[in-house]
Amino acid sequence: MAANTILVVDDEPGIRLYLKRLLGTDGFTVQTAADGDEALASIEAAPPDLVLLDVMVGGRDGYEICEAIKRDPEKRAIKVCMLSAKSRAIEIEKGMAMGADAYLTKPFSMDELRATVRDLLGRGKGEP
Amino acid sequence: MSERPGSERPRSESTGLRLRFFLFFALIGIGGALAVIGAMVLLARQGEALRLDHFVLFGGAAAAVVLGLATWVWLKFDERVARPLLAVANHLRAAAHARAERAMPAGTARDLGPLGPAVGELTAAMAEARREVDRTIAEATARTEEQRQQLATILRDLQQGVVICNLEHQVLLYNQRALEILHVAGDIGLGRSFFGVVTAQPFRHALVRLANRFSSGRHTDHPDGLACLVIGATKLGNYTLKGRVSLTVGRDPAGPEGERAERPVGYVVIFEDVTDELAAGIWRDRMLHDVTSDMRQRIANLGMIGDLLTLGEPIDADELAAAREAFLADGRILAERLDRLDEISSDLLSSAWPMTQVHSKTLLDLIVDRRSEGRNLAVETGGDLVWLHCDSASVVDLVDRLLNRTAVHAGITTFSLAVTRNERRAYLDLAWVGAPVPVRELEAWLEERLDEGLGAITGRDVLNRHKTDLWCEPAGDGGARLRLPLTTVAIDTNRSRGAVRLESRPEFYDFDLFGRSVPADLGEAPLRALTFVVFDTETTGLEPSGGDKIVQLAGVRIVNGRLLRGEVFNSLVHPGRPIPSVAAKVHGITDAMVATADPIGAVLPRFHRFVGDAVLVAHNAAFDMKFLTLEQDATGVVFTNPVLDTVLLGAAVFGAEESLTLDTLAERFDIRIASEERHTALGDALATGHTLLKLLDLLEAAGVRTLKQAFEASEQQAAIRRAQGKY
Repeated sequence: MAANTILVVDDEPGIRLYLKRLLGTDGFTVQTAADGDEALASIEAAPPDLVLLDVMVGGRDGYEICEAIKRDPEKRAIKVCMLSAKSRAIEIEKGMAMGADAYLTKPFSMDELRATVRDLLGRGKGEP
Repeated sequence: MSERPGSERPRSESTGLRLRFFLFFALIGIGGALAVIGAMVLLARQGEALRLDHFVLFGGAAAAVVLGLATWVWLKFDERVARPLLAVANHLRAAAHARAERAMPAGTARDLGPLGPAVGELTAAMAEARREVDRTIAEATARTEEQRQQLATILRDLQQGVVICNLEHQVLLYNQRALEILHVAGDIGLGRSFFGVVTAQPFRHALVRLANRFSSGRHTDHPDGLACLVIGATKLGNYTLKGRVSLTVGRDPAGPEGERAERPVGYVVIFEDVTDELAAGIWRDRMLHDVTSDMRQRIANLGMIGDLLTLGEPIDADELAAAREAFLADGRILAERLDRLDEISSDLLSSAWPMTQVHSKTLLDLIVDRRSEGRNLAVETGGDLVWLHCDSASVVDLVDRLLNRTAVHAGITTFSLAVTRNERRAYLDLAWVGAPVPVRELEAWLEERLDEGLGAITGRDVLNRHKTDLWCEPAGDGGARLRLPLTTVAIDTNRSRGAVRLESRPEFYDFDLFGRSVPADLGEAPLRALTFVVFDTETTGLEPSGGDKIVQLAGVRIVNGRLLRGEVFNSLVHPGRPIPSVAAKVHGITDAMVATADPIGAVLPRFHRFVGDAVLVAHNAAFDMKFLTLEQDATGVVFTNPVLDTVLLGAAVFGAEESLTLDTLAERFDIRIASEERHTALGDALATGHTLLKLLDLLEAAGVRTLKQAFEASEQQAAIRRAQGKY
């Protein structure tokens, strides 16, 4: 079984590096994008299994990218997990209403991230 | 009218005139008799033909006839001239001073020849002249009254409390809101001290500052003029008040014409209750302090752990695990603190924006009414009925904008608008059949400026102020909806916090109190300047000492010669015993009506507060006072106020032999009390109050002008009545 592909969309280079290293270590194929346009181009070129999407990403609104994925019948199956420094209940609700499959507020721990990713990709613990 | 000492005049006049007539006739009778006897004696000395015993017999008989004739004529004279003259005098006096211009009872001046008709013509002419004057005055005051009413309406609708005082801090005016904010149930009272309801010190301090500013002339270029901010507290409940005190300046009426200097005459206080605001501010300050207190420490911890991990020194697994644990914990705590800060700053932002409670149906109706841009959009409304906490004007504008933009974007003319709620919040949903609006489009709309009437704010600003957001999502079969979350609120309809709501009446005004001050010696105070509480009781019977009790207690206030219908005390009292049917027939108060009434122990302290330091007045006051003093031990409420009795004052004016029942006096003074109000405590208190005002006119004309003189006049009448066994 081929390794799942994860696209990390965040304008913070530190976060991109961290997630790439962490998830790479866990056996995922990790792509990164620094802004919305890059992200959409990447999805178009090679649709990933999961997008880790920062809400406040440069170029385009994270909600807009989520909308582009979830309202396109061909891409709808791609899982989306929103990452945000916004932690108010209404923002989380808005993210879920826009079609996100999960919402993680920053800061989150390695364990929380791993659990969420596994959950979304339907993989058991310890299995890459 | 002669200027004899006033308090003696009514008595000496009523008895003196008749006494003088009597002495006059007695002189005629005795003089005549003496003349006859003298003539007889002279005759006896000149002719011996007449016998002495005949002299005595005829002389004595002649003298007796003369005396008898004089007595008979005097009696007739007293009956037909002296008494009618007094009646005419009383009638004229009532007409002159108390404006009771009724016709004289028929037959009063029957034997006074043309005097009767002349008096009739005089009173009629006087009445006509007065009506003319009244008409002129009425026309002249109509406009003033209208303006006064407008002012009353404005004051009533103000959200701030307004109190106007003179320099003695006596309240001259207040509005309904002031009562609510001060948490008084009508006790403030015109003419009473403002410092009875608020703590004095902050206001005194402000007034001293303003007086200094005025006397030094600095107020002319001071940015606040003759006003300054004051933070005070109510005496009841210690609520915090924030307001402005403004000094009122007027011309000194005592100064010489043309040189009248301006001087402070009073002040205006406009205030609001900031207890909740203040508490919220204190809470926010404390929260900010708690939240930020150890953030620096947490950041230092993170920095040190980072340094440790990047040192390159060997580190064992346990140390690494501990460092990682500490790192995560500090990061989490910092994030929590930041969330709290975010909440507090949102609170600050939204508290600066006026939010009100709006009913969901009202909000939806407003949006439908608002439909701008003339697109003829059909909007159907529905959903849950719920109270929302928002600034309806900006929400209406925002939704209207979204409605128009969506209509153009999606080419749609039919929408449905509904509010739905879950356990956390409500959602205002604008739905249509068609595709959802893309995020990018929606974001662009939210960056547009809304109606200029709201200032330069965007849709995004409105969302931020409401601590909310907005999104568009697919809904149902081929439909979409814009969803705006809003805060719901449980409505507190009891805004007055238990204070009794009074009817707003224009009698709350009394600007004549400006410039008035109560002299230190109450006895020397002019009767007109006194505050009276005229009261009446209804009871279970006429024997206070025999166990009869009060079933109703009512009082009205008279301030500066005006009866204030807006300041009335009226309370049923549970007598603690059955009301005999004979008493119930008189006043119409039954056991059922007092079943839920407070006992006297609860009513009397309230009445005591209502009375304050006013002069108590009642018709046959001794009776009512007896009931009050008998409750003294049980209630601990003692009335030490001066007391006046309208029966005694009436006797001082009209003479003790006149009928002085409340009905007679009211009829004499042309005072009309609705029949259903008669023999109720309030109706009788009102009738007595109006009677007192008329009596004050007559007493003044008779030279009784001070409280002391009124007491003296009452005392004389009480002495007469005691002697007659009537009292």
